[in-house]
Amino acid sequence: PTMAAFILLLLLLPLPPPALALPEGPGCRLRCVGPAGVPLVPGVPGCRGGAAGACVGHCESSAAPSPRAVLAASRHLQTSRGRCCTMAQASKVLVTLRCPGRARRRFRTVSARSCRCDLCRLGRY
Amino acid sequence: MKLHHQILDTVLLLLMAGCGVVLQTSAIDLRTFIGCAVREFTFLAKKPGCRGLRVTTDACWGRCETWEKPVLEPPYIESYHRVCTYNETKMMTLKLPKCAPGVDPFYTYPVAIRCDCDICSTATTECETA
Repeated sequence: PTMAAFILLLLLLPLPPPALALPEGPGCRLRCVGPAGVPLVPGVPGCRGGAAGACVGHCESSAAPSPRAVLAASRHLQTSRGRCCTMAQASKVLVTLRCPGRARRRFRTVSARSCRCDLCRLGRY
Repeated sequence: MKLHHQILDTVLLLLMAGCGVVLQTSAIDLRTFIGCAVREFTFLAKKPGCRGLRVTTDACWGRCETWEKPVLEPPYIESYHRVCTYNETKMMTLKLPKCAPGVDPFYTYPVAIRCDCDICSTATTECETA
């Protein structure tokens, strides 16, 4: 009976969310990831396995007929407005990758510390 | 009655998963809506030399999945930024009232047929972000 209760308790324990799993509901939230599937050094409190912080979420956007000011300045009849999930604060971190059969290699990268819906990156937008 | 509303909400959300369905603001909670859908939009069609006309049309609105994650090469941040924008449109032209002589009274605007989370194309669209 004790073992059965223990197994039941294990089944009831919440599973950790998978990396880059989408948060429920609107908003822009901190998540732990390993770039290219490679674990990183700890960058965010609560992260396990040497992950770094990423920002994932759903921010509001819309597209509608262009207002007068836009029509006066350009030929575009439609205007899109929106915000995207971005890193509000990030730290530079050094990560050590353990490559099979080779020495450890160190890389620079960043780790998000906080996130917010903000400017979409125009270079990729 | 409340359950009936919940079922209606669920059915509408499932329908909108395929997009192309007009967002029923009365049945959908806009505070929690995720995705990109056609939504009714009212604007003032106006140009110099004519009287304005209030027009109701179909536009796009929603919340798209976006993210920024760390990568090992400069600039060390990879962005996936998509916005809710027109996927398919038809153009409507109306005649503005009381235009001055010599002023073209016709006003053309887009009507959304389908909306999608996508890159904002600067070739066809004025892309604003703030």
